[in-house]
Amino acid sequence: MQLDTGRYIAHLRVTQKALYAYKVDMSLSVLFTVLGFAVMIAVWTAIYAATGSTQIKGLSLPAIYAYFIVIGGLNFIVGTNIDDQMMNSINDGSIGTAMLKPIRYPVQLVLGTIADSFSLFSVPALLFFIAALAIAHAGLGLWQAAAFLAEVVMAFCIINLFGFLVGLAAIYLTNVYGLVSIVFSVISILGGMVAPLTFYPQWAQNILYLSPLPSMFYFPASTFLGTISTAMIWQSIAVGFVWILILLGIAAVGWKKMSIKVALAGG
Amino acid sequence: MEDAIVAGNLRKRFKTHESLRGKKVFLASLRRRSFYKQALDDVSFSVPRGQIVALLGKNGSGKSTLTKIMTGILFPDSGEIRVLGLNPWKDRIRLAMEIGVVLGAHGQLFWNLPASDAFEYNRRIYEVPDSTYQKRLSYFVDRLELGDVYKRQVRQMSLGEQMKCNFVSSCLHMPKIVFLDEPTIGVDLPSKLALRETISEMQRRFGTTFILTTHIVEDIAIAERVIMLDKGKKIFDDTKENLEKLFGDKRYITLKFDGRAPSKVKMGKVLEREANVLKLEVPHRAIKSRAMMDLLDSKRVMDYSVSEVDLSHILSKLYRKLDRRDRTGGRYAT
Amino acid sequence: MFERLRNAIRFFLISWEYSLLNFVSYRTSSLMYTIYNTFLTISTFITISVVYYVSSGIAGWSYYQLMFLAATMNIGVSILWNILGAGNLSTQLLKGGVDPYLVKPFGIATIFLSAYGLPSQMAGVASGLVLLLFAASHMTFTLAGAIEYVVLLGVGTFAMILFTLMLVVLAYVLIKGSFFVNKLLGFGQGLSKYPLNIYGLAGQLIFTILFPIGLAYYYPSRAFMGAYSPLVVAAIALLGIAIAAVSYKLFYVLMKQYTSAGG
Repeated sequence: MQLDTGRYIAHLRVTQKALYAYKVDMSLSVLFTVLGFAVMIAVWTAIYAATGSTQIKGLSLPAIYAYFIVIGGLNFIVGTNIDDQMMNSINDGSIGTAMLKPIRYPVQLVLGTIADSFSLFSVPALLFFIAALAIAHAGLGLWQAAAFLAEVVMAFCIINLFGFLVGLAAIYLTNVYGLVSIVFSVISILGGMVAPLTFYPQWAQNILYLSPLPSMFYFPASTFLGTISTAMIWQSIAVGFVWILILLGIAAVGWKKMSIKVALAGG
Repeated sequence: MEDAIVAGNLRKRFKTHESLRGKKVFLASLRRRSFYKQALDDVSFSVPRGQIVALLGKNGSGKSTLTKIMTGILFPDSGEIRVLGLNPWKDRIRLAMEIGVVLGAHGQLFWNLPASDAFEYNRRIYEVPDSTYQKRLSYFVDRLELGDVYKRQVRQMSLGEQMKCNFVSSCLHMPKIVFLDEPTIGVDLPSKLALRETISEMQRRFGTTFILTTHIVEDIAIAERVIMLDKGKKIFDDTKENLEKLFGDKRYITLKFDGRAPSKVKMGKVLEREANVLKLEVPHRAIKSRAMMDLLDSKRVMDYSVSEVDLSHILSKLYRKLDRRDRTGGRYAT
Repeated sequence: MFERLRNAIRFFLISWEYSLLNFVSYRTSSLMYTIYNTFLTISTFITISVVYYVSSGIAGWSYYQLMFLAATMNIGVSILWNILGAGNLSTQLLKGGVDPYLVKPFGIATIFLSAYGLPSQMAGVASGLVLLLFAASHMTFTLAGAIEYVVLLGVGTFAMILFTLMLVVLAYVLIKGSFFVNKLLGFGQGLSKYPLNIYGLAGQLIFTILFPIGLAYYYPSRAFMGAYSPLVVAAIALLGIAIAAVSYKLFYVLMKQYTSAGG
C-alpha cells in the first residue's frame, strides 16, 4: 500500500503559513504565556521565603522553579484547539466540505494541532526544558529522556482526545466554549499546573493518580526532573496508556455517530 | 433646503503590506513590503434630498470607503464632507440619529434572539414612541412581506430574511438618509424585489434619500443617478439614462428565419447564432435604415424583436475598457 | 454633559439587557459558562488552600487575607470582563464588525463598553463575593476600611476597564492583532491572585502605573486591612482617576486610526 504523504504535507504547510501570518501577535501571546510562569516562580519564591525551609514536601526551590518551567514548556506543545475548530466547523457547516477532502477529518485536526504545537512552539519549549535542567542542576539520562518523550506523546494524545470529545459535543450543544473552559480548568488544577500533585492531600493524590489528569502535566514534568520513582513512572505510563485506549474508543464511537448525523443534515 | 450630502475633494489612503515570495515558509513570511493604497482620490459630488443614488464600481474601487466616510465610521485624510449639514466624524452622534445604515456583511441583529428583539432594542435606543413604532413596524412588515418571520430567531432565517430584518432595524427611526452597502448580495430574488420596492416607496412617500452601494446591476434599476468609482476616482456621475446613452447607443435585434440563419449579414455584430435564430447588435440609428428595413422585409425573416442593450452589458463593456486602460497604461476616454 | 451621561447609561443598560437575553437563549451553553466562571473562584480557593496546606503561605499575609485579596481580584476582573470582552472587541475591530455599532448615536467608548461585554462573568462576580464574605468574616476590619475598599475597588476597576479598552485599540493600531490581548489579561489575572509586593518594587510600579491591575485588587484589599491613611487612599483614588482619564483620551486618539475592513 502506497502512503501518499504529499497531500498531508501540503495541509501541514498551509496551516503553518496561516499561523506565521500573525507573527507579532503570536510572539506576544508566547511572551505573556512565559510571563505567566514567571509569576508562578515569583509566588513560590515568596512562599519558600516565608516558610523558612529549603524544602517543601521534598522539593527544593530550584526544583519548584524547574517544575514550573517544564510545565511552561509542556504548555506550548501539548495544547489543543481541536475543540474550537470542530465547534466552528460544525456551526458554520464547513465540516461537510472538510469531510469531502481526501484526508480524514480527525487526521486534518491532528495535523493542524501538530503544526500549531510542534512547528511553532517546539523551539521555545525546548529552551524551557534546557533551562529547567540547568536550574535544577539535573541531568537527563537516556531512560529518563525516553520515558519523558513517551509521557509527552501520551499527554498530547490525551489532551487532544479530550479536545476531540468536547468538540463532538458541539453537534448537540452548538456552543461548547463553556464546556471547554470547565474541562481545561479542571485539567489545570488537577493536572499539576498550579502546584505539584505531591502538595495535595494524600487521599486526593490517590484518586488523581488513577485518572488521566496527572498524565498531562504532572507526570511528564516530574519524570523529566527525576522527582518521581521509576515505579511511579511505569505506573503513570501504564495508566496513561489505558486511558488513551478508553478515550480513543469513546472518540471512535462518538465520531461514527456524529458523522452520520452530519451526513443526514446534508453537511 | 441644503443638499443631503456634499463632498469636496475627498482623499483617503490605507497602508497595506504584501509578502515577498521565498522558498522557505518562515523566511518568506518575515519579508514583506509596505505600500499605500489610495482608496479615494479627489472625489467630489453632492446629493440633493430625496434622491436615490447608486454607487457603483468594481471590488476595491472605494465604494465602501466612501460610504464609511459619509456615515462617520472613517474620516478622510483631506477634503470636506457634510451630511445633512453635519460633519460625519465630528458630529457623529447627532448624525447617527438621522441616518440608517445597512452594512451587508455585518448585521445588527442578535443571532440567538428573534429579529423583533433587535427592533425593540433599536426602538429603545432611538427613543421611538411605542405607538409610532407599532405603526412603522406594521408598515415594514407589510411592505417586506415579513409575516411572522421577524418573530423567529435570526440564526433560523435565510440570508434574504436577515437582510430584510436588518433593513427594518435600520429604518425604524425613519432616518432622513439610508446608506445601503451591498444589501442584496446573496439574497434571493423575492427578497431583492421587496427591498427595491420598499426603497422606492420610502423615497416617494417620505422623501428619504438612499445611497445604494452595489455591483448588482438590477439594483441600479431603482436609482435615478449613478456615481461610479474606479481606483478611488469618480469616473461617472450622471443619470442612469445618460449612462445607458454613453455606452449603450446600441440595440439588440433578434431575427427568426425560415430555415437556417445566414452565415453573414451586412450590418451589425453577430452576438448569438442558433439554427434559425440570429441575435445582432446594431447602432441605434441603424434600426430605421434602408438596409435594416430591407432585411426585416425579407421573406426569409419570419419574426423579429428589438430591445435595448441591458445595463449589465454596458457595465461589463465599461469594466473591460477600464481593464484595457490599466493593462496598456493609457487614459480612459469615454 | 449630564444628558450625554444619561444617554450613555441608558445605552449601557439596554445593551446589557439584550446581551444577557442573547446569552441565556442557549440554556445549556449559558449554564456551562456560569459554572466555569464559578469554577474560577473555586480554583482560586483550592490553589490558596493548597499553598497554605503545605507552607505558611506568603509573609505578612494570613490565609484569609490572601483569600480576600484573590476574591477581590475575581470580582474586579469579572466586572471588567462583564463590561468589556477584550478578545471579542479585538476580533471585531479586525473584521470591521464594529461598524454597525459606530453608526449608533452614542460615544464610541460608550458603544464598545456596552456592546462587547460577557454576561457570563456575573457568575464570577457573585462567586467572588461569596469568597470575599467568607474571608472577611474571619478578618478584623473597620467601617472606614470597608468604605475605602469599596471606593478604591470602584475607581481601580473603572481605571482598569478604560485602560483595557485603550489597550485593545492600541493593539489593533500597532500590530492588527487580537490573540495576545486575552493572554495579557489572563497573565494579569494570574498575577493578581497574589500580593503586588512579591514582584519587587519594579513589579509594583509596573502593575500600578503601566498596567494598572494593582489598582483593581491590591490597593483596595490593603485599604480594607487598614494599611493606608485616608490621605494615601485619596492619592491612590486620584491616580486611578488620572489613569482612567489618560486612557480615555488616548482611546479616542487611537480610534482615528481605525480602518474598518474590506473596500
